[in-house]
Amino acid sequence: MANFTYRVRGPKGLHARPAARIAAIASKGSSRVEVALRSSRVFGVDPLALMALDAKRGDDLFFTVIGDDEDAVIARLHEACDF
Amino acid sequence: MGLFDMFKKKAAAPEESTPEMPASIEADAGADVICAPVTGRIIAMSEVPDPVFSGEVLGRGCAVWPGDDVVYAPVDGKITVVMGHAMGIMSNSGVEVLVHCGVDTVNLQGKGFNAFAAQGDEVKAGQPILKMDRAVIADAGYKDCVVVAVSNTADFSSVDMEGESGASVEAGLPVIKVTR
Repeated sequence: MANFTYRVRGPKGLHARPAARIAAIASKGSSRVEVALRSSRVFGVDPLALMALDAKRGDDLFFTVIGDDEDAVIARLHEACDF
Repeated sequence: MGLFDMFKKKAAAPEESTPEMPASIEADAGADVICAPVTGRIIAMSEVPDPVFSGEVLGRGCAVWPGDDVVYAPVDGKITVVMGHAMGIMSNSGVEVLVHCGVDTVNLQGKGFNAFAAQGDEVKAGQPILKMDRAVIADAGYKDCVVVAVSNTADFSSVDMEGESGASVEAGLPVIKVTR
């Protein structure tokens, strides 16, 4: 299992563009990706669920990746966390 | 403004900045059908001027260049996401629909948009969900095409646009067919 926390930096929060990017990374990998914000936890493959987290600037998103390619997926997710 | 002015204004019309809720329209809702959310000109998803949409990263569907400011729910379902310029709806039949007004309009941070529904609301197809001010969007330099994307496209065997790209469409008419 690999995980990391990302604090949202930008004013637009977790909107469609980064949600789509995270979902694409989660879908392409074989590992299971989950993203949590406070008490909500969603699957990373679902862009609408990611947007529904309603993560705003300053919120801490907690990413969990479990599977054979977890290291590669985590690396790609790190890159995608630029919002 | 006097201390008791707020009581005098109680029966007055809503503030001018909040538009009144438009009437609902007739919509050809169905379990496997998604209706046009706005009246205008339909285009294929591949023609949307943004690679996140045209690349179908957010799912298959279509888009409408709007001829009107009112955006209606394209399916019967529950609102799951509300951002000023976009709404996510989970239809009663399990189709996840993202209605996204404009390209990069997230930068407006809600300016030029009024929501008529909130997260958790049950909506019916044809019920107004938001109103956009196309003049504000254009003045800010953004395109206003309304994208309708089925974000759980992978759950279906196909998601296809009905009709020809470039055709006129009225809000409430079927524009996307979902095949399980």
